[in-house]
Amino acid sequence: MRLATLKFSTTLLLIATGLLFFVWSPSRTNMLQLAQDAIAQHHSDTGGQTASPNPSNRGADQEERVRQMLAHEYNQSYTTEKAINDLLGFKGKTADFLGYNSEARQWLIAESKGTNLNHAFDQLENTLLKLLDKYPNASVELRIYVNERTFKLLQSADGMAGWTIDGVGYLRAYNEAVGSVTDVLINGIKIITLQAL
Amino acid sequence: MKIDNHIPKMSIEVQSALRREANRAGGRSDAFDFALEHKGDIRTLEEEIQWYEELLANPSHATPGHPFAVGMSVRNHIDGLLPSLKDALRMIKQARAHSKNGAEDTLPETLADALHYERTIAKARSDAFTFARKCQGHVGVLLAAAQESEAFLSQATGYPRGDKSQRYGRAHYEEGYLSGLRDAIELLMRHANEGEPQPATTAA
Repeated sequence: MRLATLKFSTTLLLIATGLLFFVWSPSRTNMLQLAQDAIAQHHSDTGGQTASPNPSNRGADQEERVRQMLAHEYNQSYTTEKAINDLLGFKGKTADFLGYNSEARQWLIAESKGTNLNHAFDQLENTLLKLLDKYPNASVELRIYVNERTFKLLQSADGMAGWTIDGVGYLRAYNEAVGSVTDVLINGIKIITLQAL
Repeated sequence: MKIDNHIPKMSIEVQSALRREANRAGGRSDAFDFALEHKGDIRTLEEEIQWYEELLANPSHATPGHPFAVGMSVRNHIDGLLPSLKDALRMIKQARAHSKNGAEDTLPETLADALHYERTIAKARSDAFTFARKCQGHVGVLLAAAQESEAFLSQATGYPRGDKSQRYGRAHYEEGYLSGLRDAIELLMRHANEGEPQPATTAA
């Protein structure tokens, strides 16, 4: 009798456990789904944080990073062609960045380029000449930011596309009339070349 | 081949001439590189050509010492670049005119091969002129280097001369390098004959 009662109780317990599992299982499925979503989310975040910039858009990424970095250093900054055109009163290609530090009374004209220094030089020159038309006594610094590969080529003995830089980073070129490498100047101002971060 | 160890000091004029040729050839190489990088896009090439033409037409850029003025290394590079951009554009237009589908977003294989070939030859020529300058115009050293290139090309039995396929890139480079070395030697000899200091000669 006791044995029969025990068997009956065991059977009831098994049925109850089965019912409980049946009731719980949807929430378990939900939990699994939540966990999977969390893992997927984690991977997505990780990818977003560590992914390299789109290779097809590396130049624009570099340009934007340079603009943002410089904007912190200058209390007046002009970071679009239109803004620079409007300030200086002309239409045409300009450098990427024009900034003014009122404490130091110093202007900065900066251009970010991957490889083509001819374009960079021309844009710096255009912007500087227009700035000096408007502010003839302006104190101006000129900078070109280039990518790592270009910077290393410029540092090498042979330079790149006729350009080279000295130990400080000043832009230079070989002058046949002098028979040596000389500083490249725009209105007497040297151009510092830096590697964009 | 025995090489004379004495390396004379080159005149500034000879150094400048070798630099000039190296920069011009480098400009040509960069022009074909530009065409390849932009997948033979005609509009991009035309815009670049126009940009350089306007740049050189600007009278303020002729000021002595300006990087775009004649006699500057940057200008020498552009003097090689601009006509070569036009060469590349002509090649692309001809290839597109003859291609059946006329697709403009891809480079037909033969066109890509031809652009690569021109780029490689020009790069090798630039390297040869730079080498000539770095070894101070030592003709013996240049002749030895030329012999090495000739030996490579004579042993490249599977390479059909004139085949521009990219799989023969090394042979193309040697062709360009040899051509550059020969021109560098000729330049040095010409200057020597015009009264420049005589570069060291090779004792066979």
